[in-house]
Amino acid sequence: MKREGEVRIPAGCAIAAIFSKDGHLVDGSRIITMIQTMHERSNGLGGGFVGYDIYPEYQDDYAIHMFFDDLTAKRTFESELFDKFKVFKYEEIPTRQNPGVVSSPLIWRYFVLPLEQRTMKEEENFMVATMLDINERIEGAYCFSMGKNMGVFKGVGYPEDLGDFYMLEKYQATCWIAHGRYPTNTPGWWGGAHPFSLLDMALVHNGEISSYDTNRKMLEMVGYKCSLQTDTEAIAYMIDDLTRHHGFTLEECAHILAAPFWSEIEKMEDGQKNYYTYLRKNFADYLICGPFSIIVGFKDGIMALNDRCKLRSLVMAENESTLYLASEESAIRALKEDVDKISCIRASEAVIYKRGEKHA
Amino acid sequence: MQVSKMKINCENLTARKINEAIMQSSEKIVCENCCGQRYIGAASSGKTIEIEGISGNDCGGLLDGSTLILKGNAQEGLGDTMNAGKIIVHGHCGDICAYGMRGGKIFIRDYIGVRGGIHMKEYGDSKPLLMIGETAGACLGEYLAGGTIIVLNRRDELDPVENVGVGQHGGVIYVRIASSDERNYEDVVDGSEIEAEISEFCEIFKMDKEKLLHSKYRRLLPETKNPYQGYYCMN
Repeated sequence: MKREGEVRIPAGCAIAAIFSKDGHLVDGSRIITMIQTMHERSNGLGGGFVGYDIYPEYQDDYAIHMFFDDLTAKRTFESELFDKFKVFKYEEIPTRQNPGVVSSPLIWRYFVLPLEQRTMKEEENFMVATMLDINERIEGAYCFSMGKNMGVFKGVGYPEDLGDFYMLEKYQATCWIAHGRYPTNTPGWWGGAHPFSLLDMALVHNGEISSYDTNRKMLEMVGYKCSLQTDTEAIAYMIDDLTRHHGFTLEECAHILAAPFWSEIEKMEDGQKNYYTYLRKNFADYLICGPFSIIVGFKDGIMALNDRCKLRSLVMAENESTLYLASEESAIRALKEDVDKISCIRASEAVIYKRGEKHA
Repeated sequence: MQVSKMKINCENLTARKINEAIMQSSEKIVCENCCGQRYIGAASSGKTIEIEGISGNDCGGLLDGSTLILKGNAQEGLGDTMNAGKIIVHGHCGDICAYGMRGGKIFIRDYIGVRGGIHMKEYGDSKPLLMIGETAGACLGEYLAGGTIIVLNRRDELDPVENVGVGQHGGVIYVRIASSDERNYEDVVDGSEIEAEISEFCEIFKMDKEKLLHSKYRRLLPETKNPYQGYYCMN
């Protein structure tokens, strides 16, 4: 498994999501239909999906999804895993042959809990640290999903081919997020496909970050290693840091990542002005410059966000039970569902849904 | 003899196949079940094409005289570098519509996304018109070099545009002022100056034109004949 080279990847991609507002289950074929409609936005060098609430029988365990280059990597990983975790089940992730998906690594999943009891917060820190350490240290082993009752499925190929490869039609989820990748500078590799995920948070991204180095330096100061050389990784770590370590809500996160311009803050009333000034001054290094549209999934919720100048397209539509997000309206229309509203999401406007309530 | 409409079922057709079918069809065409195929009607002339469903990006790019009637919304890049003809959208439109448009007319019933009408230009009799029923996102008419952009602001938004006409060095932009807006603007005209355009828009979308004609509009013209003088170098 070749890792990304020394250059960052600018990308013009497709993103899409189906979020069930009332918790009804949707099978994976629906999200494949969406992302397939935007085929031209990908170039076959990466695609991926995340589904939430797909493992109800193991809902309290961390579902670790792994890529291995070879059996040696797998054995090294497993010997460490069995030392530190109680493993309730492990198996090869079922796949079927698809002509569009070639040279896949070994793909396995493990449902685990740490042997040592910790507080919830400490346990989450332990999980993230352990998995990132494995990615860093064990040659040929890569953890790409570690949340509870959710899972990432990704690789090199067109997203619709990967969806078929992973047999996503057999999974039922309350939320699906998909990505089709169009890297232009380096060959894609399996781990470098989106979504990027830490614990139950998963992120897909269309765009490129021109503030990558500023963001990366800050992240390294607080202990993250940006080892994948992709900008999306940095966004995932920033959201993880802001939500888990600083305790910000996703809405506050959005106000930091896509902060208003100073000229806009100038015009605000005092309360708002103080709030945004505080965020901009204290979290300046978390500001993302450059074009992006992102979709972030988390337990029981979803967020969509555009950059401050709206340099990427992002459309939303909804009806009583479901929220749809996509780079293009066509992806939503392809589902042939009745939707009440369909609109373009505006610059730095965070669309946030939590099951049962709406924040916009 | 009445020319009947030729129907093209776009379901499962690629953009190339759709455009080939358009080229081989009679003058009047209906594209049914369109779902995101790009470049529909691109560079065509002499056709009237109704598009049902959702057309993809760069619909009507380089259009050279045809009329496109979109029954749904438009995605990004509508009428990119369009030369002549007409595009009518019965809905809203995504980002970067009318980019570098050089002639013809675009009518959008609702709003448009960001960066509409960037660097539209005119030459001789070719004067492009971009007309928007509601609001426009940031950077409308940036570097405008020619032609006309009209924002009708039908929902009476206080700020129907933002960062409009930055670097404009030709053409004209009209933005309808909301009735509740009491701010002072430099150059204000009433709708009579653009009566022909308003009439055409209202006829297309079956709207009442009286209110629009009797409204106030900000008129934006380039500041000087040489707007960049002293901007990049001092001579």
